[in-house]
Amino acid sequence: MLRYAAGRLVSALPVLLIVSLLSFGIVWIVPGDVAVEMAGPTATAEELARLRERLGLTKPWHEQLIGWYGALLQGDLGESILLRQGVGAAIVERLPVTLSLTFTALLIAFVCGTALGVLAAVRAGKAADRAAMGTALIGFSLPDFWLGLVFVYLFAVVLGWLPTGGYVPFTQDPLGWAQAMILPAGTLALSQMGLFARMTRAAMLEVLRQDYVRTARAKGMPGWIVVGKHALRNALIPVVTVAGIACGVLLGGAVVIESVFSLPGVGRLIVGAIQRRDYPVIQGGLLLTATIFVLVNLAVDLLYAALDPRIRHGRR
Amino acid sequence: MSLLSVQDLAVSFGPTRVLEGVSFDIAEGEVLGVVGESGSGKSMTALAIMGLLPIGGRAAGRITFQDRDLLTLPERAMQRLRGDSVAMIFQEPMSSLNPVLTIGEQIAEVLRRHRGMRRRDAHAEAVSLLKLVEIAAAERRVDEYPHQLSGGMRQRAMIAIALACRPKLLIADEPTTALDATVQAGILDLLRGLRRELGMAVLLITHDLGVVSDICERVVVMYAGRVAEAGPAGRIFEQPAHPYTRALLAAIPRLEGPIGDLPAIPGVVPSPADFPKGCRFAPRCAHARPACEVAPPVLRALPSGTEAACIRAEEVS
Repeated sequence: MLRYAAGRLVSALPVLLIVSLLSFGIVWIVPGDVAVEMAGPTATAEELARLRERLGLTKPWHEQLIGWYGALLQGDLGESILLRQGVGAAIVERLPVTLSLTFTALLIAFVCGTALGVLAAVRAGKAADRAAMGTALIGFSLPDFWLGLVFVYLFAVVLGWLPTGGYVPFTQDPLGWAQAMILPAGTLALSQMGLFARMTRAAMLEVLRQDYVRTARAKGMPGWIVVGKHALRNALIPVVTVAGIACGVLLGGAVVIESVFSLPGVGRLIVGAIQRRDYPVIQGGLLLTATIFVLVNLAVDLLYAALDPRIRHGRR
Repeated sequence: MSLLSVQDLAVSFGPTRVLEGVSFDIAEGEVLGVVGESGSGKSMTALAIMGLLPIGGRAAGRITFQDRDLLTLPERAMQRLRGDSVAMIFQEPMSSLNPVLTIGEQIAEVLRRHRGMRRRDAHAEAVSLLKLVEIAAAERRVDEYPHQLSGGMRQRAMIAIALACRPKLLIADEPTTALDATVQAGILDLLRGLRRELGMAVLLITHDLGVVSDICERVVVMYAGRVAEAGPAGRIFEQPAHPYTRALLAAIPRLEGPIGDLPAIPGVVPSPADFPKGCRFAPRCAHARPACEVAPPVLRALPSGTEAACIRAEEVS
């Protein structure tokens, strides 16, 4: 198990290296002069020169690269031009919002999706199956920005049960945090819930046909143990793989949801930075998003091994 | 007084009858062999007794176990019976164990379910069960997963699961078919020894007549969803009355005597959709007469000591 975990960790390093190189390269990849792009057409030559100096663009590229990695290793992501704040500090300030949103959504999508999928598989071909799969399809098909607006109108404006938007830190007020999270996370979760439901249904149908499920029945196990223990533990293995991909999609979706629910998260920070050509923030955001994605997939790999002893023992 | 009595059992999937008129008894502690080719309905009979027919399967008739009709027993009561007083082992030890649970857990959960044992006691009992089925280093094996065990060891683990609650009846569906010849012998020896030690009845399903002659006291020969012949193992092997039984016995290779072509039975078992109207073996039978194709022959006692469903049994034997 330890060897497996170490191996996964080592194989994640090249990905992070490539991502950090790409982040560095953004400044070089964009067409035209970055300083002109950032400062706008009205900037004077003197302003441009100052900006280039601040961005370090006056130095040769290899010195810039060394400087980039040197700073990175010290956790320094540079200075935002427009926020007058360090990029690291700006991200750290907003990260809890985005992480809360993404992981609450992932949790809702996973729990509700697998439950729907199990229900559908156990009642395959019956009304409950069609209802569950219909719900999954609706969740899958409706765009989340639209759903978000409908939910805000319904639950916040008409019924007044929940706030229309904004964020309350968990450490300050856990209940307020939950109230602030339930609508945006629920909205974000719906599309991925459909994905989880369909994956779980397919995997369960496959597993329920297996001999060991018949063995469990022959042992006199009650139906819920046969399904929830013997079948589900095997069916979850492919579903967990999807969780890694779903997490990436949710991170992307968080950008839209943060705007709809006016949550001060990293997504909105990055969108703002792109609009205003705040390159250091874009670089930091790219690096952060990719790192989260890599970490989540690392977690998925470890979970995978926890679920399947054959992987733990290096056979497969 | 028999432990299990199957009377006029029929199993159908929609309009298709895969099994009909199957009747036999098992006394306490008796070993009954059920023999037949693939598709003869042996496994369906076993699954019907367990109440584990595949989806869409319906059983009719009567299956009496310890004075209770299993076919009318509610599912909850069946669950309490399965794995407790009636247990079953399957053909494929490779796929019959759950790959994500340890061997110990798969044994212990039966004990927790039916005996209300606590986790620790059940684990300890699992170790002694593994010792009972002669698995070496049971203390270590108990915490291993199925993929870490060989085929023969997995079948032993399956037997340990089945024996956990000391069942009155063990149904073994081709328990050695998927195993190597040397391993087969070991498993059969084990079953024979355990049967004697625990005094349980065994319903042994096999297509291997050698296995039957080895450990069975009585035999039921099935063909195309019906009983062709039934009787004491010795009588059936010495003086088979049904042409199908005779053909099966003739197809066993023998060590003594000249090496020649084995007399194979021409043709294959028909599928349930096109079972013949009369005797189902008639199209493949060397002794068939026009009368054989009119009506299904009934099972009747013969002077040779067996019961056979053949109108020409006296002439044939």
